[in-house]
Amino acid sequence: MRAVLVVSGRPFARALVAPTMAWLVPAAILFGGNGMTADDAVSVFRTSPVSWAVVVLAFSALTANALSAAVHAQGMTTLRSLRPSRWAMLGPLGVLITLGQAPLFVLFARAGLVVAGVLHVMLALCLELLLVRLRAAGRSTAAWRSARAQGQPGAPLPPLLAICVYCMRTLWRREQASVSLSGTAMALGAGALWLSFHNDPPRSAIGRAMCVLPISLCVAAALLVRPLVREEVALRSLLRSTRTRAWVPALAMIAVVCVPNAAYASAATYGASSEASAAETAATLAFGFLVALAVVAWARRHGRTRKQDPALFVAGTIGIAIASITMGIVW
Amino acid sequence: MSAVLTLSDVSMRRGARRVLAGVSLSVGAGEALVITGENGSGKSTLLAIAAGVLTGCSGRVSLSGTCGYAPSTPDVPEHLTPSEWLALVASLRGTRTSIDDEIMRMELTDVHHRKVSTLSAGQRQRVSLAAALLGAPTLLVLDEPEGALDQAAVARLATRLTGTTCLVATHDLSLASRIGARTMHLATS
Repeated sequence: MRAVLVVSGRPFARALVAPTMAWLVPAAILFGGNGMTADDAVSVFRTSPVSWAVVVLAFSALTANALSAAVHAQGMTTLRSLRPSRWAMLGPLGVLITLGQAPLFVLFARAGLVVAGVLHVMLALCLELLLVRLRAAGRSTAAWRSARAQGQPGAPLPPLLAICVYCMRTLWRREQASVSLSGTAMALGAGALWLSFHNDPPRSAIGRAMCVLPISLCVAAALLVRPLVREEVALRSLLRSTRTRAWVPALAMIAVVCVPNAAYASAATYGASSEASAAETAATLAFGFLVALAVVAWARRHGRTRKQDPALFVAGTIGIAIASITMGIVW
Repeated sequence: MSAVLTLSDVSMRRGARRVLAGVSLSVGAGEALVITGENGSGKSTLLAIAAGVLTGCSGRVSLSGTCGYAPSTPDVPEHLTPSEWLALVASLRGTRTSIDDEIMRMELTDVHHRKVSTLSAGQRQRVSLAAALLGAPTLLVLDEPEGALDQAAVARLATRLTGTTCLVATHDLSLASRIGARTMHLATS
């Protein structure tokens, strides 16, 4: 049982970070800032079956990914080949997936409905298992469709687009922890900007955004670009043997990292201040893009050094953040 | 016969160690050249230079047309499926060849949708070779292609290579005779 927990625990925890952040941020706003209580939430579920169904289904869908990661964790095949007892395999997995549903139980328990909480967790677990099965079936159907589509010779994707797709697949499949942490940094930055605007409304929205957002922008961009630089090194033999120009992977990296950062900077400013003008939102878009671009350029430069010191990369990223904040203060 | 690949007086150093010393060779269109030699004689380095993967050597390297390169250790990303990897290679090479045809030829039909991390060493080698062969490049540069392949797969590969322009490094001399290649022995520098 300990071996199953060790093997599947880490992938499960990694996959759980993103969905946890997805409900933690709105939950903190609803239950912290707006004074909502567990009783209020449960009474909403009682009056509106649709909202109840949406929450239970959404919760099952959010943690289904973590369950899938635990079941298919590297090393599980070896463990299964050792023919452990059924309980030794299912027990730890059951504990893990019940942990994933714990917040749902806490919500009902705090409203004084412990039995209802247990029943809801069981319902969510059943739905979760169903979703994992459906997803596995869907994957094979998608693979079959893709095979059919690829059977027809057609124009290949342009190299830039093909590498962009590759970068996104890498981030999504191999670097889920980085993506989750990057999303967390963005959420924290947006929260900080909202609080700053709420407590002390500024004269210039862009000036304040330029002071508050750079740290989250730099952290988010650095977390996404590091694995991509490593992947570019791994792809080097293919890129060179196909005579792909050096600017193609560089531009793909910029597209994959800078565009979401720019969108985040402008969305966070627009969301935090209802008085932000279109010009100010556009300016934060450009600012977010430039900060992320500086981090990408630094990561690529650092990736070319012979002795890649992570401390040096972090120091450079902090330097970019400080320079961006200084720009905001001057503005 | 016009030369597809020409290497003139190519030398390579790694620190104080000389890996290659003044190697010259030429591969004409439709010709196969097999490089043999002891471990550490510089076969893989020579092939990487010929494919344009390794730079920083002295001498002259001239290649006309496209090149398909398969290293001795398959470097296929583990998080992709063979189909996705071949689609990426096809895009970078700008070829309109059907990926499905290559998958069938290399007998990867059953595993084309599985992640590379779940494939055996032989299947990974086949994926790597399929990527090199995709779109019939002008020159094939294959580093120990028989490495993890079974006998039947080696026989099929030999049939496939017959008549193509290729530069192959191998320890298996029977492969050289099967594809009708001339051989060149690389002595340790």
